[in-house]
Amino acid sequence: MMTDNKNREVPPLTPAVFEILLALADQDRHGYGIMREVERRTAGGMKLGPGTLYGSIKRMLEAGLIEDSGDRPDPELDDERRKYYRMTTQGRQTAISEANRLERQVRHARQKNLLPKGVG
Amino acid sequence: MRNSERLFQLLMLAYPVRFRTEYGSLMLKHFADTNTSGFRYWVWMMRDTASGASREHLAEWRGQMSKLALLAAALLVVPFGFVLLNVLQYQLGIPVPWNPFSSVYDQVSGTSWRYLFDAVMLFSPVAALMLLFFSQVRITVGQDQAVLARIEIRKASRLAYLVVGGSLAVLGVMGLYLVAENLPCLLGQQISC
Repeated sequence: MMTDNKNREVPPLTPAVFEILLALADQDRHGYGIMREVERRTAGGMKLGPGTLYGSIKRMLEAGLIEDSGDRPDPELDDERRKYYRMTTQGRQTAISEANRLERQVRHARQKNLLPKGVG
Repeated sequence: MRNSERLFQLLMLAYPVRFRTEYGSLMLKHFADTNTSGFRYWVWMMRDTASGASREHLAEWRGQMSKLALLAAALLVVPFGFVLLNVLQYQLGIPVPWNPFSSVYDQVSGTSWRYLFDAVMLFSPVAALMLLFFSQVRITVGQDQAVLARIEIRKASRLAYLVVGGSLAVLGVMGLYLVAENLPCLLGQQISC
């Protein structure tokens, strides 16, 4: 199911799960940090409430897509009530598969003239 | 603690206890960090809580139930509906806008289908209890020389309690009906039985 094979189909991820994986692609973050990163990247288009965020985090931990990162980037400045999360290898492969799937869809949309050709 | 955080703690009661124990403090910290307020924010927060809490309850419920217990619950739907609606309508006098069972019962009454109807109503809860027994109890025989058989009882889920309660309620009410209907005959007070 989880594979880095570019052509292999994987079940589509929910937008929240994909966004969380994208937020964790470059660095470990805590829940609030993930929410802020998603909000920044989507220019406020997607806001993850605590219920959606921690529900998704719970399922992603169970599925092995992310893990609890024991490290704290700056323990002096940070609140110990926060928990940092890190993307696993399986999570990275899943994110790559999902990105490929979305890329294929965009390509098909372009072929059907739903998007202008040669943009993006 | 600010009033808004207290209100958020109240909202968190909608989540299952296990989820709250694991993520409650993180969610509260997240909420405190967000530091936003206003009517629209609270509407959004309530919507997030409603969808998140129902998703977590559903996930917890799915995790607990086995297929046999689910089948047992499905077997109970018709007899439980029949008993509940008829008790409400005829015993308690509460108007029931739609009772599909009374029209079915009227149609089968006086025909041989009546026996099938009664059999389904009586044996479904018994079958449900038997299925539940097999979903909860695991018996292994002859695996250990020291003991003849090993019986393992799984921790009962909420669904299991519902099936047991529903089955006993249906059997109890139908048993009382049968006794009340046939008591005059049994006591020899009625001529044609």
